Amino acid sequence: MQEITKKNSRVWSRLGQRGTVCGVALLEILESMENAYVLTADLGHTSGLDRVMQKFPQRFINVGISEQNLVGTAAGLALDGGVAFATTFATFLTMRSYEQIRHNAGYQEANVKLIGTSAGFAIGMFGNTHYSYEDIALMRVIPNMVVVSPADATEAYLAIHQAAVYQGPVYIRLSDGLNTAIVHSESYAFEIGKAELLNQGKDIAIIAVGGVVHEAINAVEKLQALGINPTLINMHTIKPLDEAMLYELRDYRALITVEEHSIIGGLGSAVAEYMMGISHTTQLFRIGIQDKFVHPGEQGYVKSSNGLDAEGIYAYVKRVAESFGSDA
Amino acid sequence: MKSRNELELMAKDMRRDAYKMAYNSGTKGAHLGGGMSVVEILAVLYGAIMKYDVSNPSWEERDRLIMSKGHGGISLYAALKNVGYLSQEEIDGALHGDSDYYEHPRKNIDKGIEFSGGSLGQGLSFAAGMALGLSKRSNDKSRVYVILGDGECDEGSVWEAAASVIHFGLKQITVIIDLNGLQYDGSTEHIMRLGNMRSRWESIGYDVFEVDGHDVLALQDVFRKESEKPQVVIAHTVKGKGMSFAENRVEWHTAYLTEELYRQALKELEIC
Repeated sequence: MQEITKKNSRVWSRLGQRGTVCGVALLEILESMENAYVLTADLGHTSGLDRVMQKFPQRFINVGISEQNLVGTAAGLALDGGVAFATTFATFLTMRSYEQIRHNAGYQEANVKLIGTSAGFAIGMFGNTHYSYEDIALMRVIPNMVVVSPADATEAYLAIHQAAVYQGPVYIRLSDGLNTAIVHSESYAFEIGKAELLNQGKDIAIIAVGGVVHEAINAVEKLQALGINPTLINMHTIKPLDEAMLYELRDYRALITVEEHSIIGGLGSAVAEYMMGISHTTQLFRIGIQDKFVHPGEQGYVKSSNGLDAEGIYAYVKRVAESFGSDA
Repeated sequence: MKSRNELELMAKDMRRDAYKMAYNSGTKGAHLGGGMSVVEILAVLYGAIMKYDVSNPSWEERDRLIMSKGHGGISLYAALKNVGYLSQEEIDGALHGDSDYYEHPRKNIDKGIEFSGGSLGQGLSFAAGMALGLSKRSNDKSRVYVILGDGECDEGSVWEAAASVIHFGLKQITVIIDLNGLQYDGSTEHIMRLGNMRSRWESIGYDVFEVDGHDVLALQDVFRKESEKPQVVIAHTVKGKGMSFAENRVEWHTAYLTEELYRQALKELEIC
C-alpha cells in the first residue's frame, strides 16, 4: 500500500475512483494477497483492469455478460481464506444479481467485495438503464453487508485496501470520471464505519456521501462567505452508520443529507432511521433524487438539475438557514 | 465399492428419517416430492463416492456437494445423519421449533452443509467459483457435485453457469440433474419444455450420462466414470419415490403426512 501524499492524490484524481481502484489498488492487492481474485462481467477493459489481466491472468476471471454468475462464482471463490472482488456497473451488479448477493454473499457471509462502477449517473449520456440511484438502498438492507461510497479517488484507494482485509461482504460504490475533485490530499485515517468531519460549524450539518462530497465542500465555502457555517460530514460508510457522530448532531437545528442517490432508502433514510430512535430536536432535509427517473444527460447536468451541484446545495442550505431567521 | 444391499439399506434409513422430519413438521408439510427423488443419489454419493472426514469437516481435500435444489433438504439431512454429521436429536428436531435445520439448508461446514440452497438456479455458479478456487490452490483431489432439479433448469442463471464451467475447464464438476419430470404447477413438459436435456448439455461441452436415479449400483457406476470434461449425470427419478400415494403426484411437491399416511409410508418402506 502506498503513502497518501499530495503527489499520489493528484495522480489518483486524474485516474478517478474507478481508475484508481481497478488500475492501482486491485493490482497491489493481488500482489500482496495470493488468495485474492478479481472477477468481471465483460467490463475488464472499461473498468481499467488491463494491468490486472496482464499481470495476473490466473486470478482474473471474466464470466462474460452474466452478472448473476459473476456474484455466484465470486462467492464460491471467496472460501477457504480467499477474497473475491467482483466488479461491473453498479446497476447491473446490484440489481440483476440481487438475489445472488443476498443469498450467496450476505446469507453465507462470503468474503466477497462488490465493486459497483458508474454509480449514480456518472455514466452520463448512457441514460437511466446505466444509472443506479437505488443501489445504496438495496445493498444496505442485506444483513452482513457493509456499504461504502468514497468521496474521492484517494478514499476509494483506502476503502478498497481496507475492504480487502475485512472479513465478510462489502459493497463499494464508485463514481466514475477522470480528473475528479480532490477531497483528501494528505495522510488520512480512513476507517470503515467512522465518518469524517470536514468542517466543524454549528446549527446546520450537511451530511454528504460519495462524489458529491466535494460539491458540498464548495457549497460550504460559499455559505461561509455569507456568515453561515454549517458542519460538514463525509459519511463514506452508510453501513454501519457512524452513530456516535450522528448522536452529536441530534440537537442541531437542521441536518441536510446529500447523495447522488434516491432520497428513498439511501443515506437520508439511514440518518432518519437513526434519529427517530433517539431523543432529538433536529429536523432532517434530504437532497437527492426525488421518487422519479431523472432526465438523463452529462453527469454535471443531472447533478445540477437535481440540486446536487455546489450551487444547488448552497441554495438549499441557505434557504433552510434563512427559514430559521437571524439567530441561525 | 459398496454392495447393492449396503446402499439400499442406507437409502432406506434415510427415507425413515426423512419421513420422520416431514411428519414432525406438522401440517406445514415438507418438500417430500423432490426430497424423495434424490434419496438414492445422495445415498450413493455419501455412502460410496464422496471423500469427507466428519471429524475434520473443513478438510481441504474433501469432495463438496452443492445442493442447488435446496428443496431436497430433508434428504440431505438424512444423508448427513447417516454418515455422522448430524445426530438423531438434530433429525428429530428438524423442520420445527428453533431448529437450525429448515426446509432449505443453510451453509454450515461443521455439519457438512456447503451451500445455502433454496432459491433455484444459484448452485452451479457457486460450484464454479468453488472449483476455480480448488484449481487455483492446486487441489486436484476434490470433486464438486451439484444437484439440480429439472424444473430448476428453467432458470436462466443455470445456463450462465453451465457455460462458465466448460469455459473455465472445470472438469472436477459433476452436475446431477434430478429429472423427476414434475415441477410445482405440473409436468416439466407442460409448464416449460426445455427440449432435449441431454443434447442441451452436450452441445455446451459436457460428457453426459443417463442413469436410473433410484438404481444404487447404476448410480455408483456412473459416478465412477472418468472424463476429461465436466460431467452431467441425468438421473431419471420419480418424484415422491417410495410412498405409493405420492409417487409422480404433483400435489406432493410440498405436502404433509397425516399419522395414517406416515404409518403407511413406514410400512411400505419395511416391505420393499
